[in-house]
Amino acid sequence: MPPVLEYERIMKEYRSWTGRRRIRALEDFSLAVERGEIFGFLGPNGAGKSTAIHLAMGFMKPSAGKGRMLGKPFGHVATRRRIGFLAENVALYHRRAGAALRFYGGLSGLHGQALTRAATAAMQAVDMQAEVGRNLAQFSRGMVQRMGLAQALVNDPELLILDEPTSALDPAARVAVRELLLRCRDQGKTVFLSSHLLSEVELVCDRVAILSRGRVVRTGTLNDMLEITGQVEIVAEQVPLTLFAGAAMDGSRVRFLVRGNEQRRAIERVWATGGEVVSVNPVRRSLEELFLELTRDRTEDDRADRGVS
Amino acid sequence: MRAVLLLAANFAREQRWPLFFLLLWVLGWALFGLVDPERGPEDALMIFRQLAVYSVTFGVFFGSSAIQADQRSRRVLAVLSKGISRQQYLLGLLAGMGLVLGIFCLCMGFTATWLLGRFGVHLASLWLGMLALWTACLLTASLTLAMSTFLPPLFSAIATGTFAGIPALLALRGDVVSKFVIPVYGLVEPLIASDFAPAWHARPLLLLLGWVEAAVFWIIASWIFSRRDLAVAAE
Repeated sequence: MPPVLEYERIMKEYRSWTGRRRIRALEDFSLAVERGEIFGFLGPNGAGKSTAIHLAMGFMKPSAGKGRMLGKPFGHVATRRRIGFLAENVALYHRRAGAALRFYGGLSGLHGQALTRAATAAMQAVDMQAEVGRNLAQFSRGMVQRMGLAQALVNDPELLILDEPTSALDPAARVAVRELLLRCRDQGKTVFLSSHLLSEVELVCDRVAILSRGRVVRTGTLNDMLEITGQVEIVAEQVPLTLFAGAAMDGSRVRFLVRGNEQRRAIERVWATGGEVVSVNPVRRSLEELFLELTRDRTEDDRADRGVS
Repeated sequence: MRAVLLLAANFAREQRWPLFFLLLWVLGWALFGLVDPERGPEDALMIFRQLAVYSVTFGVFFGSSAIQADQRSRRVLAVLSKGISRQQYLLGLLAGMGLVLGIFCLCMGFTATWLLGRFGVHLASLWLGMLALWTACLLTASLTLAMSTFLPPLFSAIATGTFAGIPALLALRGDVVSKFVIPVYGLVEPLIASDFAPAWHARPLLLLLGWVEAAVFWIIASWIFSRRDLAVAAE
C-alpha cells in the first residue's frame, strides 16, 4: 500500500525580495507516513516542521523535489477534501461556533443534513457542544484550538495533519485530545502530528521523525528509537546491595543494570541468594533525551549557518 | 460554486461594520432631504457625486486589504486547507466585495430615486447609472485585488489609482479611446456630471467592458496568487 503522505528529496529555500538573501528551510527532506498510524513529527524551533506541513497542504511549493498526499501531488485541490488540517496558532473567523463549523464544513463540500450531522459530531468530539451558540471572539485560546480541531474533523478526514494541536490546552483537554487521536487511529485514520510536547508524542505515536536543520535525522518506531541496546534493569527484593556492581537501594528494593545477555545469570543469582525478582525491564531513554541528543549539537549554530548571503 | 458563495457571504459578514458606516452616509444624505425638502437639487446632487466617488474608493479599500487581512490573521490557512482552489478563494472575495458594494449602491439608488426623482431626474437612467457605478466599483476592486496579490495594501491602492487614473486623465483631456481602457472613469462620469440623460448610448458597452475587465483582472489575480507561497509566520 502506498504511503498516505510522502516527501521525496524536497528542498525548500526562502528568498528575500531581492533574491540576495536565501534561507534553506528543508534540504534533501524525505519521509513516508503509512496508513493508519499516528506519526510524530518533532524538531526544534526553526527546524522546518511547519514548512514541511505547508508544502504538503499546497500553501507553498518546493524549490526542488516532490511529494504526494493520498496518492496525489501536493496541492491537489480535491484531495484536500479528504484531509483535516489544524494550523499552529489556529485562527478562525469570528462567528458563532456552530455557524463557524458549518462554514468550514461547507467549504469541504458538505451541505444539508450531512453538514449538520458532521458539525454536531465534530463539536462533540472536542467536547464543545455546550458552546455552540457562543461567538469565537469570546473564546479563550484553548477553546479556539479545540474549535480548530473540530473544523479539521468536520469532513471526516482520512488524514489528519495537526501542527501543535495541544499547545494551548489545559491538562484535561490534552488527555481528551490524546484519546481523540487514538480513536481516530482505531477508525483507520492516519494522524500526522507535529508537536513540541514530547511526553505526548511518546504516549500516542507509533512512529516518529526527528527533524533538525531541515533534514530528518532519525525516523523509526518509538520502541526502536528509545531502547538502549542490550541493557536491562532488574529490581529485586531481599538481596544484598553488594551482590551486583552499581546497584542502588530503592526503598527496600535493590535496583541494578545488567547487559541483556547476562540477564538470565543475574536473575539466577538473585534466586540463589534467596531473593525475589520484582521486575525486569529493558532500559529506555526518554524521547526528550533522544531529542536533545540528536538536535543539541545542531541547534547551537543553527540559524547562523542556514542564512546564506 | 457553493464554496464561492460561502466565501462571498463570509466576506460581506466580515465587512458588516464598514458597510454599516457607509450606509450611515447614505442615511445622512436621506435625512438631508427630509430636513429641508424644499431645497433645490444642487446640494443633493453634490452629496450624490461625492458618494459615487467614495464608493469607488471603497472598492480600492476592500480590494487592497482582503487577502492581506486573511493572511496576517492566519485565517487563510483554515480556508485554503479545505477543498477549494485559490481561484475560488479570490472569486469568493471578489463576489463578497460585489455584494457589499452592491448593497451600498442599491441603498444609494433608492435614496437618489426619492431625493432626485422629485426634481425630474430620469429614473431609468439613474438606475442604469447605479449599475454602472456598481460595475466601476467591482472593476476597481478586481484590479486592486490583482495588485494586492503581489503588493502590500498601500502600494496596491496606489498602483490601482495609477492604472485607473491615467486613462481617466487622458479621457478628461479629450482622448475618447482612454475611456475604454479600464473604464472606471467612463462608467462613473455620467453620475459625477449628474448627466442622467436618457440617451447615453455608450454606457451598455462600457458596462460590458467593465465586467469583462473585472473578470480578466480576477484571472490575472488567480494566476499570480496560485503561484505564490503563502508565507504565514506563526506568531
